[in-house]
Amino acid sequence: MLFNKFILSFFLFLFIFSNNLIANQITPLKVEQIADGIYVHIGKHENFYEENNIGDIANIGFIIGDDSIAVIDTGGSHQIGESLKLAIKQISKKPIKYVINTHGHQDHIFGNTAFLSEDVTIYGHYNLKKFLKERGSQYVRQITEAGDKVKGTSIIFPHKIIAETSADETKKLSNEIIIDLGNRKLLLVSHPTSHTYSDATIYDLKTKTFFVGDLVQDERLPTMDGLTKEWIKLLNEIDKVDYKIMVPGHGKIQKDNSALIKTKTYLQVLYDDVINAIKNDVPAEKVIEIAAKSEKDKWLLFDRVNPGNVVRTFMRYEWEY
Amino acid sequence: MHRLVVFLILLFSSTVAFAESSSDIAYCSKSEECREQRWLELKQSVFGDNEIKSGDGVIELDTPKRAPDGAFVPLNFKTVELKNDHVSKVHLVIDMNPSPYSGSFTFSNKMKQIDLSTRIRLDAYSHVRVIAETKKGDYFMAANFVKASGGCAAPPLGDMDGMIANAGKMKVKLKSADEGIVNAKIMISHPQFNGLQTNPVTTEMIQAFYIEKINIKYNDEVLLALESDISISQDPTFRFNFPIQKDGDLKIVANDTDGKEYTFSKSYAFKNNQLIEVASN
Repeated sequence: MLFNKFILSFFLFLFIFSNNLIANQITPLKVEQIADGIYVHIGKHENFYEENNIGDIANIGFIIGDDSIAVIDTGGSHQIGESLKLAIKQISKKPIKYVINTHGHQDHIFGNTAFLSEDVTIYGHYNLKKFLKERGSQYVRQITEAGDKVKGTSIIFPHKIIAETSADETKKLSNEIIIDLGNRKLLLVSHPTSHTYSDATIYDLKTKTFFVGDLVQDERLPTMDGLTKEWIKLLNEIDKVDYKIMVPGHGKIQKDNSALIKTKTYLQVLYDDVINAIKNDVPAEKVIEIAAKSEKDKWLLFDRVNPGNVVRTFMRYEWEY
Repeated sequence: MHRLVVFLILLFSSTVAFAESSSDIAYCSKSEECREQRWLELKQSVFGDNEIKSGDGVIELDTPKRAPDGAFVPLNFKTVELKNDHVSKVHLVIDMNPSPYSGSFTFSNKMKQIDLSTRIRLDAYSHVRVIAETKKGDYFMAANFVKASGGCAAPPLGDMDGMIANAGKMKVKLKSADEGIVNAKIMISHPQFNGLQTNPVTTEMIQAFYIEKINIKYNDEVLLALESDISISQDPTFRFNFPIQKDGDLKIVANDTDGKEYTFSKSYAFKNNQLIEVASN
């Protein structure tokens, strides 16, 4: 009897111990060089934190200057952040001085904790802190429910905002700033509410590489968490920028505007379908089933992401018609 | 050696116990048994010893299996016409919400087949239940398990001051369908702060402020009376059908937790099987 218990607990102990070992084994993230001194990791098209996913779904990367390194988004957990840090250290010994978050969604910022040991300054949209405070309780619950596999993950507020302010910090003078990594200048811009109300883009002046976060996506259906119509408008502005390489928040690296057009087309169909339904008095539950369905075959995870996009668009515009 | 064994067993069992107490009891996220227990407790506290029968053939509930957004979960229920009895009230229970008993809808006895849609907040994976209460005092339940989360603490959509200023504004659309049935859509602008949200600017908790009573009358007949709790979504919207074949006045009165009363009234004429809005003045 006691012997049986001993055997049982021994195996249980072994099981827990070995699981911990696997969980603690962090390997460098796979990254590819997309331009001189610019590396990107392409995220997987999986559901966040479901099954074996530990938050590796977004495209994240880094830019190396003569003096320092800037990280652009850190992934969806402390673990992914640590893996990215290892990948960076294998490629360059220069100090990581900046972390720039493209927006406040979990899959782009939850890895921030991994860079706190590096003496970094974290930059984000001037609304990012407010956004994270709003989502705080929801995010904390999500991290708690994911448990050990994302241990160490927590919400880190940006240290500095992407905006130029007056000396007394009471007035916003412009929505952009330039940071210099040493012979390499990056233009950071905070955008008005579109995909979320915390979207920023990063433009490398040297190689004309444009990190646009989730404002543009390829393959994986974008999440509409802001204002559908304003997002379309912003994409028209982004389309005018002179870039050579575009890094979308999800999906393949782009050499032209095809992903941008694809994203814009989806949003336009979504908006038109929802407004039409509101005008024709279609009940909310039916709108969810029909809106933007014609775009379904072009995107991955459509059935998971589209309903929420429809609901948020519907809620926002229902009173206007 | 024995001590080590005992220690390991204790260590293991305490981890299991801790895991259960911290997440399972709070949200019953994984345990069916825990969810069942929660419902039994709720049932006892709301319905006492009354028997609750299966709603098959009496009431039907329609919700998405996975709610796209916890702050806005569409819900529809329909009842079937009964012999020698009719559904007079429908109770809404959302097991895992902070305040599970979410409201009651009392219907006019002229409404033989109730068909009502609204939107609810869902704080965690939960059973959503509608319990039809008949005139004779029988209870029939339809329930769905819905996956959604973060609805109750989800930040309010839009600018808070604007929402408070607009509270109580109503929009009403009546559309005549076949056989004198009118399809009504009633929207009430209200932030429905449920006391669980945080003000995004100050990060302080927002005080509860929500609609607790709605009374919809046509002439002297109460079509629908609603007593609700914090689980109804921002800008409460109700769609329902009712039979009307005569001229009359529609009057809506809504009361919120601040003691404010909001009213809406409009006159209608019944012509050629259509209910037509009579222009005021």
